[in-house]
Amino acid sequence: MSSHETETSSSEAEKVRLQATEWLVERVETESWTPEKQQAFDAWLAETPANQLAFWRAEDSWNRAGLVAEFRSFAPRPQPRRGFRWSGAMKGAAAVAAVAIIAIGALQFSQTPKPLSYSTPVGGQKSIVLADGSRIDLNTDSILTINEGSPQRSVTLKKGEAYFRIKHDAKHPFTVMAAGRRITDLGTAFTVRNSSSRVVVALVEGSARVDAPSVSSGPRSAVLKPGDVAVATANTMSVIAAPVPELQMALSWRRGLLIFRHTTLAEAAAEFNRYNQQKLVIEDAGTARMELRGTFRANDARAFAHMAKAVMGIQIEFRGDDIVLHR
Amino acid sequence: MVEKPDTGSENSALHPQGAAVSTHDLKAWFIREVLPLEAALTQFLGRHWPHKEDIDDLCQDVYIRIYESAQRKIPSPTRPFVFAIARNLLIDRFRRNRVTPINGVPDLAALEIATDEPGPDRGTIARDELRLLREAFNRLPPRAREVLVLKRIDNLSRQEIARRLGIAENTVKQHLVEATRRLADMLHEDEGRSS
Repeated sequence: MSSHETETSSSEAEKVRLQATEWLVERVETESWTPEKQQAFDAWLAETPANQLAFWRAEDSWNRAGLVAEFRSFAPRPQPRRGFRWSGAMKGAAAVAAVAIIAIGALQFSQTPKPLSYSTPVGGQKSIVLADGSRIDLNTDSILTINEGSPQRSVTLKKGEAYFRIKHDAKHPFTVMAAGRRITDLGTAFTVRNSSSRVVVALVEGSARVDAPSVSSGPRSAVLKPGDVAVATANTMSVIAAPVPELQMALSWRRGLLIFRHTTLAEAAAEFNRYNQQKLVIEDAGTARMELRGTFRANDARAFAHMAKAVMGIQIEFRGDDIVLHR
Repeated sequence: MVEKPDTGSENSALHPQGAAVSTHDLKAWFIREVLPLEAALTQFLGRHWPHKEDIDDLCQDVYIRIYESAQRKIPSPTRPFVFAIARNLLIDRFRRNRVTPINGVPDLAALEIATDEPGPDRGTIARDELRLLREAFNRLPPRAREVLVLKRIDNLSRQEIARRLGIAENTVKQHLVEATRRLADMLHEDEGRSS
């Protein structure tokens, strides 16, 4: 930055705040955020603690602004051009990867010998860069192992959720195993979630094949295209096309956010409980069925509970480690 | 390297060299505990420093001192710590600039008053958050507000917002910077203080 004095009366602190806001606005534009920008951003942050602190301050406001979505849950909601927004979300989601990886700091993995197993605690996240440049973001409470000794590139998601952005190589397809299902990359970014009852694969970009050899009825194999979500339970597999809420939810965790649209309180609580030791418990069916919409910080169940109380008129109670929601 | 064992945080890779507190923890603490004090802090500084136009810079300098100290150990409780830092900074500046303090040098008694003001109770913050946000949003220029909502809530790209509103992408960016900057100021200051 140039150091010449200007006529303006703005203080040094104001200038720093303005710069911080400009960086923030640039950085949330995931489609055009490049490694070069990240480098310049890192350099700016390192210049002085004032920059870092001003950025945190701007970021805090930005995150809190997301709660405004709650206001709109009462107003009639126009839903213009859904398909149009949908495709935007896709592109955005793909580009987010570049940000996430740099922010979390993949360097720690690049030199040291790779462990065979990676895991995250409740509320944790981790990024893994493979030798070929493929990237895996591991979500909360997850375990992933690298299957070595196999001629193919292969990992197993034993538990939890991960986002994969794979360097495609037709000769050596990348595969993810999850509860007996095999996901084979055909040039791809996708998420896989392995929960106790089902495996969910959401395709962001490119194409992937899901094989579920143990399925007793219906298709045992499906080729996914962007926007497809494959849901495999013990005995069945189905593919849903372009389910906006599920894919958005499937990706927002990589920014530390939970995005709800037409989500019941029960579903929202279940999502929060994946990220927090402090659990949300809903006592009555009426409360469980209430719907909400909004963007929330995944690691703050307490703030969410207070928000739900203020906006939806329910009661909250703190019992031990739990936050109980009821009428 | 550090005198005390690390308390809790697992991501040691994130620790800056020589620092005992991870950036992650430091950031979480700063946002959760320090930023909510900004209104009280600027008021405190304004009561004692005669030049209103310096307050933002003083506040920034307080933050830097807090940050540097908290890198070694996160203080608890936060509030008395923040105001003690602010007081020391003021005294340094009085000396350096030979400024006559208004209302005298902030002594411990003044400090007590400042620290007795209602603290950031998290429940209160959460309850008031919606009201505060709603008011802040209402005070944004309409176009800037519209752009911020399309970006932040509807998650559209700048390009899409530009197309939808029929304005240049760079104008969208300017609106976003404007809206975010104003919002940050409004969310961190007293209701009465803003213009």
